Parts: sequence; C-alpha cells; structure tokens
Amino acid sequence: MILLPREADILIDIPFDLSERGWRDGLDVFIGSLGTVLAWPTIGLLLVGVAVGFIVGILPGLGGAVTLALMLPFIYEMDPIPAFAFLLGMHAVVATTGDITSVLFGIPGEATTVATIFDGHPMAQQGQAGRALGAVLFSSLVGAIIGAAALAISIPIVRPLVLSFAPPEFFMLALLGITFVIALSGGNLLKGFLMACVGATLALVGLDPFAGRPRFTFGNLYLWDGLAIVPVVIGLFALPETLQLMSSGQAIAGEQVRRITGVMQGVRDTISHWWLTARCSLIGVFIGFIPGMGGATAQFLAYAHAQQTSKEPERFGKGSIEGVLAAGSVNNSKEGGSIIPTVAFGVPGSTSTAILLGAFLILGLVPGPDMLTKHLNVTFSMVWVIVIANLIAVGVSFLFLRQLVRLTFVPGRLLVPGLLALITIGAYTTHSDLLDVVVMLVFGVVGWVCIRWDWPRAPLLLAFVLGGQLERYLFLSNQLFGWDWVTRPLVLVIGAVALLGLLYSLRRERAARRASAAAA
Amino acid sequence: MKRYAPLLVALALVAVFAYAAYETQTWSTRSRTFGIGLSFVGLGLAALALAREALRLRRPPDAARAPVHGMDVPIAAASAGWAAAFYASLWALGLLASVPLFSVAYLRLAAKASWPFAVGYAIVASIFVYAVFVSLLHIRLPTGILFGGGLAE
Repeated sequence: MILLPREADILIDIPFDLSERGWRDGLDVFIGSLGTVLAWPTIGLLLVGVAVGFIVGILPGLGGAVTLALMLPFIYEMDPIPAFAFLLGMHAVVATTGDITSVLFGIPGEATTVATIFDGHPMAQQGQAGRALGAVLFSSLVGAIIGAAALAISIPIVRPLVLSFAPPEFFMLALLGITFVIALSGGNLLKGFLMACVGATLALVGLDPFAGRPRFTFGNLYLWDGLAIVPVVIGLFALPETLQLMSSGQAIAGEQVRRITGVMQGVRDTISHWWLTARCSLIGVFIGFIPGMGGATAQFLAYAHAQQTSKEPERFGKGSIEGVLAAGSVNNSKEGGSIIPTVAFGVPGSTSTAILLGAFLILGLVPGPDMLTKHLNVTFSMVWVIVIANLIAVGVSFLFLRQLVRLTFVPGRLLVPGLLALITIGAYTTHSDLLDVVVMLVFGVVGWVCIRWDWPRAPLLLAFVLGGQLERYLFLSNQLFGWDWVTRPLVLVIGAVALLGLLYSLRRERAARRASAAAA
Repeated sequence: MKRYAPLLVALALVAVFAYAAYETQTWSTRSRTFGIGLSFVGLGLAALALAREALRLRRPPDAARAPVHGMDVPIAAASAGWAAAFYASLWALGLLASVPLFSVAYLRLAAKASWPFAVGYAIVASIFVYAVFVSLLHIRLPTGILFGGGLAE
C-alpha cells in the first residue's frame, strides 16, 4: 500500500536536531552502528542473506521481492538489526548479481536489471563479457555506496521535498518516464510511442481501482489481479533469448571468441566515466526515493539519460560501455533512495520496500520519527548493511568472474533445458498458477515478434510498469484540483523537461534519417 | 508474405486499440478518462503506422523491405517445437517430471550430446530444482494435469 504524501503529512512531525551537537551525536550513532553490524550474530546473518541474494540474483525470474516475502517468517525471533542485516543484506545484492545473468545470457536476473541487457549482452556477444561484467559490478558497487550515503545524509532534510509533491507532480514524473523511454526506441519514435501505448493499456488489465469493475479480463478471474510484471518481463526478454539459443546452437559469445579479457578494463571504465556513474547513481537515488516509481523505472531513466548525454548515442543498444555503466550504477543506488521514504515516512518506494515495511511491523518498529531518534541505530545499520553486503557480493563476483564468464562459451543448446526450467519457475512463482506460465508464453510470442520486425520492447515494459501510476495520479489530480493542476509550477517544469526530451529525440531521429539517406 | 508481415503487425495494433477504444466506453465515468485518452492516442498512432507500412509496400521491393532480423525458418520452427513439447509436458506431467525427460530428449536429439552427459545433466538439473525450490525455498511447482494439477490450480 502506498500512502499519499498528504496522508503521510498527518502522521509525521520529524524531530531531528540539526544543531552541531545533534550532528555529532548522529555521527556517534552512525559509527557505533557499524560495530553492531560487524558483531556476531549480525555479521553471520548478513553473510547468509548475501549468499541467498547472490543465488537469487543470478537465477532469472526469481525476484528479490518474492524472496524477501519468503524470508519474512524467519525473522520473527530476531532482534531488529540482525533481522535487517539478513533481509537487507539479501535484498541489497540481488540487483548486483542479477546483472551477471543479464550480461551473460541476456536474461534479466531481476526485473530491475533489464536495462543491463541492452548493452551488456551485446558486449558479451562481441567477446567482451569480462569488460562488461567488470564495469557493471564495479559501477553497481559505486551506486550502492552512493545510495547508502544518500540514505545516511538525507533523512533529516528530505521531508519538505516529498511533501511538496502532490498527485499532479507524481503524474507528470510518470509521464516524464514515458517520454524518456522514447529515446530507447532505436530511432523510431512512432514505434516507441505505439509500444508505450500498448504497455500502458496492458497496465489497465484487472479490476478497476475506482469502481471495482473488471477491465480487459474477458471473464477470466486470473486477470482480475492484472498482469504481473515477472511473467511479462520473462516472456518479453528471456523466452525469445532462449529460443534464439536453441536456434543458433552456438555459445552466447560466439565460437570465434575464446579469450577472457578486460575485467579490469571494466573497472577502469567506471573510474574514467566517474561523472556518468555518479549522475546515474543519483538518478537512482532520486527515483528510488519517489514512492511508487520503483527500480524498474530508474534503470530506464538513467539509461536514457546516458544515451542523451553520450557523444556516441548510436552505440547504445549495440554494446556501449556507457549504457552498461548507467544500468549498473542505478540499480543499486535506488535501494538507498527507496529506503528513505520507507524509514522516514512509512511510504514504501518500491514493492521490495513495501515488503520491508512488513518486516518493520513484525519486529515491532514503527517507521517515522522513532526511526530517526529512538531507533536511529537501526536506520544507520541499514546504511552499513547495504555497503558491506555489496562489498562482499562484488568481491565474491570478481573472484569467480572468470568462471562465470566461461559460461558464455558453453554451447547454447546445453543451457536450454536448465534455462527453460528456471524461466518457467520464475514465471510460475508469481501466483503459483500455470496461467502465469501461459502469460509468459504469450509475451514470449510478443517478444519474438518485436525482435523479428524491429519493434522496441523497452517502451512497452516501462509503460506497463508506469501505466497504473499514471491512471491513479491522473484521477487523484482531477479529484483534488480539477483541471487546474496543469498550471501548477512543478507540473509545468516537469512538462517542459518532457517536451524538450521529446523534441530532442525527434530532432536526432530526423538527423539520423538524413545522414542515412545521404550515405545511400 | 515477408513483405506484408509489418503491415499485418500494424493492422493487429489498429485492431487492438479499436477494441480498447470500444471497451473503455463501457467503463465507469471515474475510471475511463485515462483509458479513453490512451486508447484513442494508440488508435491514431497505430493508424499512422499502418499508413506508413502501406506506403512502404507501394515502393519497389528493395526499398519496401522492412527491417527484419533474419532467421532460418525450419530451425526456428524446430526450436519452437521443442519449446512447445516442454510446455506440453509441463502441463501434462508437471515440472519435476518434465525437467529430466526434456533434458535427456533435447540433449540427445537436438544438441547431439552423449547418453552419459544427457542423463547426468538430467539428474543434476532435477536434484537442483528439487533441492533449491522445493526443499529450500518451499515453492510449489506445477504438478501437471495427470497428477491433479493443471490450469485450474
């Protein structure tokens, strides 16, 4: 459940001492909480959580949110800090290791690592899997640290910002996401727009949230809950990729590439593109921080930003290191960002943090002022857990990277039975219903058609993720302000940014078409 | 047929959005604002895409060729057949039976792997699926219609 800012406003009056002494006391608690996290049994539970998260991240389709929910019963007997070390330790590394599957197999280990595929997988196909993995893992670590730092320093100062946003601003932010994704349309704005419309329409499937009436359900009870993102993502991306492996019969990296090089080059790429990594990390923090926008959105916004600001935008989607860095850095930084409203306001920023909110209640903690005063050590321990968990996960990944990279040289057909099993389980775990698998198969066909006739899949996916929010915030905006909301200053600013982004993409598409015509 | 496929895709989108535009008219006043706007925008864009594809067909065959990622049709059909066999087996027998059966059949017949490799792979894959998903994560796996499962679970 997402509390609207206005509702949250009623509940919260944050007492945080911003005086010099207040900051010093806060620093003492911050350092003290590191000792608590490193003490036994907390560190042991953190390691168990990291191990589970590592495996879950690599297994395609088995999402971090699902696993968080499965792990909740284990924390009943735990104290708050060990419990969060276990849960958050697991959750913090899922996106990091999810990137590995995205790069190696073109299959998103997580719904939040889809954007890594766009350039990470082409790099693997070009024999640069090591470089892509080095870049994505190191940028993930940088993103995690920036996200954790943002969580630490922003808690006392973010409240006015969130409370200045009302439904019209949230609506415009979602719309901004849709227009940004047009930049991902591979130079075809019309197709991008159309796929976005398809995605947003698919988001309407299910019970009408306002009147409780079924929409686009065709009399099928299964569709009353709407289409779940996991079967849709797996169908659109993983199934066509697996069919491709079956058809080609080759290794992902191709037969001609046998050498594994460039891991450290990937690390150096991250350092040499530090400003891009930092910017995309901050986008992740900001989007994660906005309730309901979610990680699936953040990755596409960061990716589109990287493409728009790149000197070589035409390389995006074909193996651009900047695309890999953008996707890598954002998917961990958003975790720190999404925890901020959860801890401070009880407003979960994503599905996973909504489940974490359940953990708060199990442990007898109430998000809000108490988390910034009485339980400040718990809040700061979360910061350390995110950092330490990612340090361990990235360290372990680097140690075994060469073995992982070798997976790309295994003939594709040998992977097919295992991949089909994992894909099926990933889809099925959504509702434990075979219809989840049917949905996945339907979207597998859609994904195949998209690949075959060059229709972009990313706009469909993003609009599907954002569609429900768009509808909800439009309704709330009209209810609260009539159509006057369109003249609110922040709405106008966000609208102008969206329009400029669109015009920029249009201009670039025309320039590319002219250049192509001139070359012909 | 290849030339007409992009036109058919655009036509399918026109049909989808036309249906959506019709359906949204029946929704409650509160919920249809977004749906109507979206479906009519989609319908307009799909009509534009259809017109563009139709114009493309009027050009000479070379210029009219839409971007298509090539594939060998018999091989693609065989792959789709294998995938269909896996999911038919899943529906009938459930996942725990389908994984070893499909592994052995596919690795032997399609990947031309040796018997020991195919059987070893099937055993390891089955143990992994059972140990991780059933024993460790307590996930219910599809049981198959022959064992009381199926779509109505």
